[in-house]
Amino acid sequence: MRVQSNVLRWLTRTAEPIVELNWDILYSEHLPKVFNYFRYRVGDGTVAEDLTSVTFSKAWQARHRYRDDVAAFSTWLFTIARHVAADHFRQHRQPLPLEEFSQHPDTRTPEDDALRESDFRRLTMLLSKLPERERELLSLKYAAGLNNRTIASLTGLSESNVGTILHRTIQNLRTQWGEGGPLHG
Amino acid sequence: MDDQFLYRFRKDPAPEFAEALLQQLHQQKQLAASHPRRFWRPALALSGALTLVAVLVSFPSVRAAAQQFLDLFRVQRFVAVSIDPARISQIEKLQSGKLDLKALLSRDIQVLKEPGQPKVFSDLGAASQAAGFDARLPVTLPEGMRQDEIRATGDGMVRFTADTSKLADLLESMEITDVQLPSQLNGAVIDIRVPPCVITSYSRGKDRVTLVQANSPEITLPAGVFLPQMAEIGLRVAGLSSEEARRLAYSVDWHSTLLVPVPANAASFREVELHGTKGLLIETRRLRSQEGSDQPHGRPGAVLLWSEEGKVFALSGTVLIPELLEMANAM
Repeated sequence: MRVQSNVLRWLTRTAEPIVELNWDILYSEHLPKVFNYFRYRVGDGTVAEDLTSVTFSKAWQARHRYRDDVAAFSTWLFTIARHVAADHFRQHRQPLPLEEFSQHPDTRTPEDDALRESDFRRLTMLLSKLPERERELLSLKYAAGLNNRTIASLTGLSESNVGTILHRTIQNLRTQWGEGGPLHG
Repeated sequence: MDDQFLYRFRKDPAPEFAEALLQQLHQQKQLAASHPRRFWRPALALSGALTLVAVLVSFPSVRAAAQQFLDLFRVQRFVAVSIDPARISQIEKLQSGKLDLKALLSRDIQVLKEPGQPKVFSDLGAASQAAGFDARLPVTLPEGMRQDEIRATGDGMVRFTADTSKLADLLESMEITDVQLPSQLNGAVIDIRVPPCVITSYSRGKDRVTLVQANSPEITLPAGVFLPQMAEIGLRVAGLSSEEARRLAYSVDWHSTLLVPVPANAASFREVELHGTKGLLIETRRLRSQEGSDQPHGRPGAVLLWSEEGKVFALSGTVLIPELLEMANAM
């Protein structure tokens, strides 16, 4: 069709390869967020690293679909991360058993962080008892450092609903934490 | 509520892990960048082929049951879809380096009427008369811009016969196994009436702008083809995932929407307001200030597409986006 072929001819004539996303900067900025998101979802260890790798690899492969006029990069990236997490849990049927959280060694943690590591293992145990939605929201908020608005856009919940659920969940978490002794650090 | 304790358990990933992953991503980048110069020609061919697919799916299916032929397709909306360059490379490889998607979609293409070469006209009135519709031009131009030429093309007619066996081969080669080709499509005869166009050229130094306008194209297609299904196939060929393709295929009104394939590593796109309607702006992200440098791939540019009162407009050029919008809004 003449009009379309003309349009497309111009498109290909005038269009240039885009200035790509500055991948290294985005990687540096978002790697800890994604990594911690998975740590809070599945605990410490190689699984969190594997899921982080899968997320960035998928993001790279799908980078041409990212539209900065539609969503912030972090929103887009965490959409992928959430799918990766969902795939992981689907394949494994159940989240990791509590024993894995409590016994999982983290050999990279410095000795002076041992106490905090112990607390984290305890936290992941408590997180593993939470319903899926609550654990997801906590991970997005406190591990990935996303604000409630971004979490709302990712999860389809309203912003106020996100805040309410988080508030309630944290209260429960603190209560349970208190039952197990004082918080270190 | 004290929730700070929940932040405290964050930690940085191990440096060796971070470095290894970054290296892995860089390797992916290098692999993807290994054929940069081969992109544009295939992209053009692919775009044409995908347009053909878009045309195929641009008809209502409901009324098809009651009519031998569907009524006219009218473009009211343009929707851009990003095309994965890796997919383009893949298709190219499947055809031993020579991309001819047109041949994959049809075994028989007949030009029933040649539109002929564009003719130059002295003024808009004469070009409009030749084209058979009232063409419009911007009443004001960006500073320094001048109108060079007005041309018009005649109408044409193309008929092609769809061949699903070739398309099936393509899908198989691409390992797309979860879509089914509609049996009604095989052997279907599709007529496309190419509408007359009025083409106006502008320039300012090295800047070039072209305005094309035409009545909406007319296409007839035998009944029985379920259009979202065809759309889904076209979108899968374009490289969209099954989920994305299905979502888009079943959410677009194919009766009035023209799909515009946009090479992913070439351009970005967004919707813009024009004359109270929605237009599609496709633009490169390279800054214009870089034009003076020795860029190996030429100049950046943009294409603005919109539809109004049964006509389609395409304004493209190498000027700044605000200037392009200014011209469109001055029509």
